[in-house]
Amino acid sequence: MTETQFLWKFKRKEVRKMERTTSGRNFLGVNLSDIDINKLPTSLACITDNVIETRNGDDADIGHFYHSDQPSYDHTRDD
Amino acid sequence: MKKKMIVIVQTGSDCNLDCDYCYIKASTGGLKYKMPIEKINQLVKNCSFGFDEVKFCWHGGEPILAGFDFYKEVIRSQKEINKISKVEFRNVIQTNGLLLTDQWLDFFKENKFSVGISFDAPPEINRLQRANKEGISEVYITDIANKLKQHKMPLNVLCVVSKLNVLKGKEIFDFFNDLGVNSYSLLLMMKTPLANCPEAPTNEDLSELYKTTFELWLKRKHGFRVVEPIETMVRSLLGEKMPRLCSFGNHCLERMITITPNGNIIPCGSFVSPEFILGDIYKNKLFGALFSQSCDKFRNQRATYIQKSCNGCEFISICRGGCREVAYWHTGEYSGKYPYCESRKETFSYIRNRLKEVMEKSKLGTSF
Repeated sequence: MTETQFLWKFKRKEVRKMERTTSGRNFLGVNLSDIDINKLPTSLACITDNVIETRNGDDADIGHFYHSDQPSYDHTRDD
Repeated sequence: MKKKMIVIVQTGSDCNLDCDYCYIKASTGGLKYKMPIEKINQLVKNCSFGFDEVKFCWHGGEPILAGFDFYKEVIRSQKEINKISKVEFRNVIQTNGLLLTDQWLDFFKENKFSVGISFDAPPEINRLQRANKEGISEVYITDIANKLKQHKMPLNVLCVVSKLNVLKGKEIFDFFNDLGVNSYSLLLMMKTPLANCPEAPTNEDLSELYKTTFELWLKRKHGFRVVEPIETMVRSLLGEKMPRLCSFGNHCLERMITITPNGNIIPCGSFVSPEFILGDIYKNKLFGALFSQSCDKFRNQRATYIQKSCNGCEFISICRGGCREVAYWHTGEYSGKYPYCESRKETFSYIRNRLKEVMEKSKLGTSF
């Protein structure tokens, strides 16, 4: 292992540790399963529903700066 | 878990528009480059090794100028490699749309390409900061929208934000809503040294744009599915682990890379100076380049920046220090300060508070 590789591995570990303090945390302090999704505005309802379903987002369909590919959820509500 | 990679390919530097902020023009000094068709097979092969799924984003200049034969060879090579290695391929093309014909749309539909259109709303701003010498119509996007509709293809738009349109959040939203777009993404302009390059937005104005867009997004009853970066911010605040947009996540040099027309592997679109070259895709496998010392050097620089600048920030895991490319064009350094740190903090706080309010009201059964 070269010095640069060693440094990177070490730093990555440290940065990930910093990130882990909040990673995957719900920043609202609200338990999403307590929410009646049907009472939320459409946009938020769709996203909340999808986040609950795919809480472990590691394999989420990541994108560049656009969403030229298919959206990550099916927006079928039409109120 | 599938090993996925996003490869942004610059097919050439030529373009039929003349955007005032074009980083290709700024970084190539006007020299013309074009990716040779006979290199495509090697490109696809060397990008696919070591991955289960590769998404190619075809960029330019203007990628339509590469021509039909270019993309026919892309599809042929992908099919050939898929047969042997089972790697799955997806394709996205990011175009200004002016050269899109029915023939092109038939081709893209048949080969399952997603089409992204670059348009800087509102229309008068698009004309102002993207016009070529002959000028462009303000409303050509309507023709593009109709064509895509006829082909039953979604309209996804990338809208660059400069000082000229940063305070026009409502006009941008209404324009895209009326146009019937499927999704749009607000992309920060790179502040290049080009003489006509508009001013970059200020932190304050950018926060205003995001807040306005968030409120409109929240209140909209139906219409487009995705408005970025609002959706990524909301998802992250709700607890989604991996932010979806590269500028909020850890995709840099890990799940996303750019290839220039002459085959250089670089961290992202505008890092074209020699210090950023990580390899030659016509000679090296992409997988190997990602484990090279030069790649680790930039990862180290990014990690050092995050360690120094973001330590103690409550939003570190959903911001991750911001986009290195934007920082580079503003500071001249890969590990320079992300210029929109303040705006991100303010927007995250604002959206968090609004979401809390809305969620609480929904628990009480009252309207938001």
